[in-house]
Amino acid sequence: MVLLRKVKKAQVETLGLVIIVAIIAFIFVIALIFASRQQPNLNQDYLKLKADNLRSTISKTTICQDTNIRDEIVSCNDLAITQCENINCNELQNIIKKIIDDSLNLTNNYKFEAGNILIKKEPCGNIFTSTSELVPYSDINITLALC
Amino acid sequence: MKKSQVQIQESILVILIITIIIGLALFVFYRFNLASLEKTKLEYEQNQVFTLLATLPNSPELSYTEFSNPQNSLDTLKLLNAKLTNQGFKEIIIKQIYPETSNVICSKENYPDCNSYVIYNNKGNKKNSQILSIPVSLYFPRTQEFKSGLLEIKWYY
Repeated sequence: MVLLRKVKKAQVETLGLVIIVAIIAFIFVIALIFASRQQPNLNQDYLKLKADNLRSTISKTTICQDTNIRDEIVSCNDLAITQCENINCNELQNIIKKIIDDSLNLTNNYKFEAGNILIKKEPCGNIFTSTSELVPYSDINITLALC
Repeated sequence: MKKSQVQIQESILVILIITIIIGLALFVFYRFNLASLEKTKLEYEQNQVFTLLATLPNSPELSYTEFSNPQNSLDTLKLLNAKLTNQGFKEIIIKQIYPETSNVICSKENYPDCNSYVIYNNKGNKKNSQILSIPVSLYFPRTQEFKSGLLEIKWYY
C-alpha cells in the first residue's frame, strides 16, 4: 500500500514537472513570436524621412529671384503680401499644395501648417509622423504632418 | 496467408504511410522556408534601398556644399556627371517636380531644359520591381536657384 502510494506520488510529481516544462516551452514560443514581431518599423522611418525632406525642400524652393517659399510664408503671415510680384498669398498656397501632392503618394494624407497658412488633405486623424521647423527671426513654425 | 506475412505487410504499409507523411512534411517545410527566405531577401533589399535613400542626398558626389558645408540639396551640375557603380539591379532617377518642365532626360547638351537625371541604371533581366522615393531639393548653380525634386529608386528582383 505504501509502495503504491509512493508510485502514485512519483507519477503525479512527474506529471507536474511535464506540465511545468510544457508551460515554460509555450511561454518561450509565445515570447519568441512577439520578439520577432518587434522589429524596427521601416515604414515609420520612411515616412519620417519623407516628411523631413519634404518640409525642408518646400522651405528652400526658390519661387522668384532670391526669394524662397520660407521668405514668402513670413511675408504672407506678417504683411499679407508677397515679395514676388507675380504671386499672391493664395497662389503661394497652391504652389505648396502642388509640391506636396507631387511628392507624396496618392494614399498619403497630410497637414501643412505655417502661421495662417493651412493646407491639408483629409482625413488627417491619425498622425503617423510630424516634423516642424521654426523660421529664424520669426515666431512662425512650419509644420508638416503625414497621416 | 500466414500471420507473419500479414504482419510484414502491415509493417510495409505503415513505413510507406510514414514515409509519405515525412515527405509531405519536408515539402511543406521546404516551401515555407523558401517563402520565408524570399520575404527576408525582399526586406533586406528594401532596407538597403531605404539606407541609400537616406544617405545618397548627403554624399559628396551629389550634394551641394557651400564652403564645405552641406546644404541639404543635390547639385544638378554634379548630377549630370554622376555615375554610380555597384548598386545592384536598380534604377536611380532624380526628377524635378516644381517648377514643371518638359519631361526630358537631362544631358550636358539640354541642361537645364530637362527634368530627370538618371544617375544609375542596371535593370538586369529581372521582372518584378518596386519603387521608393523621397523629396529632395535641387540646386542650380548657374541661376543659384533651388527647385523641388524627387529622388526615386526603382529596384528589380
